[in-house]
Amino acid sequence: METLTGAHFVWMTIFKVVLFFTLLMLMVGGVVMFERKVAGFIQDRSGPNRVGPWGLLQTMADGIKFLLKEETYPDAAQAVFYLLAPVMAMVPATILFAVIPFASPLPTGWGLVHMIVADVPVGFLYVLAIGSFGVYGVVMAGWSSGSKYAFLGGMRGSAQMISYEVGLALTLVPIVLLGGGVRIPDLISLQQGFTGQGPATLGMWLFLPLGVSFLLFFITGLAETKRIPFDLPEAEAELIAGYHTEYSAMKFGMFFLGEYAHMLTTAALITVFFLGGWDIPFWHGDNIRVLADGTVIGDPTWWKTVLTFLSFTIKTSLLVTVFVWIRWTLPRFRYDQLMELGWKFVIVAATAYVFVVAGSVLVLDRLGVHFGLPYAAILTGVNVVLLGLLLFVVDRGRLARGAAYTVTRGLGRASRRSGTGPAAAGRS
Amino acid sequence: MPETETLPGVAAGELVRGSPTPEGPADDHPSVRALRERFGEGVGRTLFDAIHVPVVVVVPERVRDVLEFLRDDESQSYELLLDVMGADLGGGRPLQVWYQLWSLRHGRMLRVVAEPPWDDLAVPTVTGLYRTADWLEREVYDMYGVTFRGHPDLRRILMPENYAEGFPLRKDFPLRGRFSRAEQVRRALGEGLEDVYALWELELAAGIAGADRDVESLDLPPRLSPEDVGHMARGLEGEKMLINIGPQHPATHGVLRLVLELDGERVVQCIPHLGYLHTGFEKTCEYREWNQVVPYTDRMDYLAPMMYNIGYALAVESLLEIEITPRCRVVRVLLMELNRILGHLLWLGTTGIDLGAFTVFLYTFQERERIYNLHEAYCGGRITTSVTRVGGMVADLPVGWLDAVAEFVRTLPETLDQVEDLLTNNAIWLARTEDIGVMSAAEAVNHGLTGPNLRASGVAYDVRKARPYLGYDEYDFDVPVGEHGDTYDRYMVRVEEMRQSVRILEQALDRGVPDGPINVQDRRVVLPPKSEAMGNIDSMISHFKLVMEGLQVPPGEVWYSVEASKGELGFGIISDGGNKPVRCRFRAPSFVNLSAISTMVQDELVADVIAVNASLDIVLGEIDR
Amino acid sequence: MTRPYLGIFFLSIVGVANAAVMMLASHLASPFRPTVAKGSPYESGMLPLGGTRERFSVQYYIVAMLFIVFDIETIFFFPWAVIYRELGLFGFWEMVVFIAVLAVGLAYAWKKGALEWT
Repeated sequence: METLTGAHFVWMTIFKVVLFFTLLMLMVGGVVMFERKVAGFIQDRSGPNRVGPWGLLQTMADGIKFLLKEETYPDAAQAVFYLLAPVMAMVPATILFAVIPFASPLPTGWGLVHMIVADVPVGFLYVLAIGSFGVYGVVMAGWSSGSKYAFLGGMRGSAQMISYEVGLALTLVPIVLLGGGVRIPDLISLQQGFTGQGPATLGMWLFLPLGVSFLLFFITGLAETKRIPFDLPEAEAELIAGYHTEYSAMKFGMFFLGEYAHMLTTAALITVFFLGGWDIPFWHGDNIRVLADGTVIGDPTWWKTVLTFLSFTIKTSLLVTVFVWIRWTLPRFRYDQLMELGWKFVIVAATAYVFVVAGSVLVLDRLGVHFGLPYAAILTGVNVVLLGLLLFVVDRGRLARGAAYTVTRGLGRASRRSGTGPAAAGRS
Repeated sequence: MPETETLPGVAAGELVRGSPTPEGPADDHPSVRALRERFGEGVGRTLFDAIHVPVVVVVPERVRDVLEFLRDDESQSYELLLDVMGADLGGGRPLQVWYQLWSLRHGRMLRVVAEPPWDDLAVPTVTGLYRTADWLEREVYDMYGVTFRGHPDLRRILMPENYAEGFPLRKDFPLRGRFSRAEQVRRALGEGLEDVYALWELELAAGIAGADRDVESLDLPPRLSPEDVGHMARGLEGEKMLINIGPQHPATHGVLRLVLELDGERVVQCIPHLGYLHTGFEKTCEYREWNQVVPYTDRMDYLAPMMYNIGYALAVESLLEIEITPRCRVVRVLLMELNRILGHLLWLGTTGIDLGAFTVFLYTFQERERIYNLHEAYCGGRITTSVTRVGGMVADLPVGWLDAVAEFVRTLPETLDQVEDLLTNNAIWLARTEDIGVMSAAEAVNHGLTGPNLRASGVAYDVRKARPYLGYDEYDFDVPVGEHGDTYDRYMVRVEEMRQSVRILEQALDRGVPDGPINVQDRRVVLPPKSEAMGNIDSMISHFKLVMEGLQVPPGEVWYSVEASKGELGFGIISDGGNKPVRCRFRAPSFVNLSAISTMVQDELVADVIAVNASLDIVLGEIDR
Repeated sequence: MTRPYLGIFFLSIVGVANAAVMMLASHLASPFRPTVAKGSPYESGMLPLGGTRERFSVQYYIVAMLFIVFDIETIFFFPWAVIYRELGLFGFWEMVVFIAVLAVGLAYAWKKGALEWT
């Protein structure tokens, strides 16, 4: 089947954009609701339960409130940047989605429709480029508001986001090493198994053969979304609301939406890069690929599109759940610790890892190992060893040696002094 | 990691115990004798107060020398200055300034009193000896206008910087203030920079902005000249900024205001400002009958209200020299330990929020809710309980209440375990708390820290052990102490204290609450039963007198303290035999603990300010009073 | 060649239009009653002392400069990675040299305390 051409392509693109954008906005609303419900569950309370059945319309009510509340406008603000900041915070997170394939191609009467808004040949670079845009919203908001908290938050936010930007890009290099291209749909094919047709593929989700990348990408992705434990730019205990302190009503709502959209985007990216995208595991029926020259391999049908879309959604939702779970479990880093983690750990580890993968690829190619499951299996072995080492380093051996307190303090719980000894203070 | 500076004569973790006061007149007390020998004419009259603490009146000029001797002399070593308070006895009698001292090494308490004449209200400062005196002296200055000569920063502390109505706790100051309401409102609304910043902060900012600020043109607070503050003002390099954390800030636990001088994220200087919740409880209490004071007490530490209720009742009872009933003693222990848990749980939850662990807050608040239910079942109030009356309690226990307490005590440790699972070995939690805001034992004592904050530094001083009240010596419990005096130790100490409180509660419940009346059968303080009052003329008269005049407390003075959840809670009470206190001073533990924050956050990061502030466990109700 | 970018173009338009409509709608629907207090910057309810946009700690700018260096490094990584398997051993050593130079830079910055915050 041929892919779309001419006017059909243009109209279909417009249709996809509108449909997709609507879906995305609905999903962002859903994620907000989901987070609050999960938070309620984790914290042993109900969560929102007043508006609509089971409180499901709460997000909508919040939206109306954003719309109708008074907007304050600080005298000290610099108008252009102040107004532009919320836009800059929200738009990049949404248009980043353009290059994410979310289902297998759909055959229609006019031709095969790719379930991706823009199948650009430089998908990776697009992700990195647009991802970097997020920092503008933060720094503009912080700088233009004229409030000291916002200023500090903006400073923190920009330093944090650019630091982790580097790590984020570095963790993607090993993927390109293996895939040999920067087009994102190819990446999904790489994780599916194809024999004989087109370039060889691994046939294994990349979180196994590139486990370290997966871990580092997860950490940096979380840091880029500015969520606990990385929510320092808006740490409410320190900076009130950080860079968006001076924003109210809908302008605040846009930061809020942008943040959740960003979370969704990050989850989708992790899905695509490491969890096979829309691939359904252990089933070869969905192995459909469209080569750059338009050749279609596999057998696309509409129900496969639906199933793969479900697969994509489920994976993304699971990742979102993990994000939410982390947020309601962990305390917040301190600023210097965050920067140390970024510069002294993530960047160094990611760079070193690029060479480990490069070296492995070199060795495996020399040995003539078949680029497919065996190749992936050997890489997986290498990664398991590396992950073990890495965790030991990060953890400073605490897990292996028992409680953290014992290691750093060199004694048991110093404060718990019941029992005998000089400090068994005060048995009467 | 800084080595813990140990206190001479007090081993780390060694329990501080009180020693009995020797018999005989106050002049035979070893400290008093030593003072007389050394200072001769400098020492005036001496006496014992209601709880047999020696009181020494000294010449105002010699206060610093006396305290230096008392602190440094091996046989005295009064290392801990518990309180500095003023007292206006009225009727033209000289103003008193009390210095309440406690020797950790010898387990002795002593009160030094200075009586500066009204025409020269000045005493030398003791801030050089005890850092804790800084704020305490400022408060005396603020309330009575006593000048502490040589004090580095003698400003108003609870009242606004430019408060112009006088010194509120003096007897000639009317309860409602000197200005009309309209004038007071006008001043509040017309607030300018000079009203909310100290002069030298303005100087600092002027240095930052590079602008010239004319110090002479400012409205100086009384008794401060530009020269006085000049040495504190200094120019700044351009990279620093002044930022307000509070009063309207999510992490200051109320309306505390910290002005931070920041270099990037690093704190160059932290300047606390208080008084945003100041309500003048101490003044109001002088206009209330003894039992009417109770409702004011629980509004100070509203996070553990019964600590104040019971502490106040104990203090007044010590003046009356009445012995409460065995049943009342056990009930009060139960309530105090429940409230210790109540206070610590709130601390745990809010500290969790401050460091980003929100879930902990909801876990602890569920447990707090159960204690509040117990409060409600007992006295009807949840937060403002007002449970005590002089000589007893507001009511006897309701049926089934003890079973509910037992159920709570049984299930609390499980929640504590869950919270500890989330925090104790959490790498981020450790990174945020270890070696943050370190106080060595010596520093902690010098700053007057008490309660868990002091014990985290390794000094096992707990009033329940040192000067047992309510029969605490009959219970078997440990005093947890930390080793490093950092935020993490303060966390661990409090968690462990909750477990120890559970132990105390279990013991009290196992032994059973003794039967019998809950109130003393003393007609001076407790109303006779209605039937008796109707049938017996004596009872009727005492009923009438108690209702019409309120109870009368014999003349005397006392500085009584209990171990509240936040530290040593002291009550400095003076009675002239009437139905109202002449002076009712509350030594709020948070007030003194908070005064150490400037030292603790020096050169730390902004986030550490929040962590340290949280770890101090403050409640603004009692700080501002 | 530009065809695939059409989607991005349309999505950007929709995204920006959506943001503009949201701001406009809220601007039209919400009340606007400015007062002096509302217009002053929030500083925990206090009158702020000193301006905001003063000179500020150089630490942040050092991070920004380091970022530029390392971001360019990563951008060089991508074309290299694409054809890495064709380059073979030569490509590997080529990159080792490139990174070694940058690593010296990072080590220097590290040693100089550019990555320390306290």
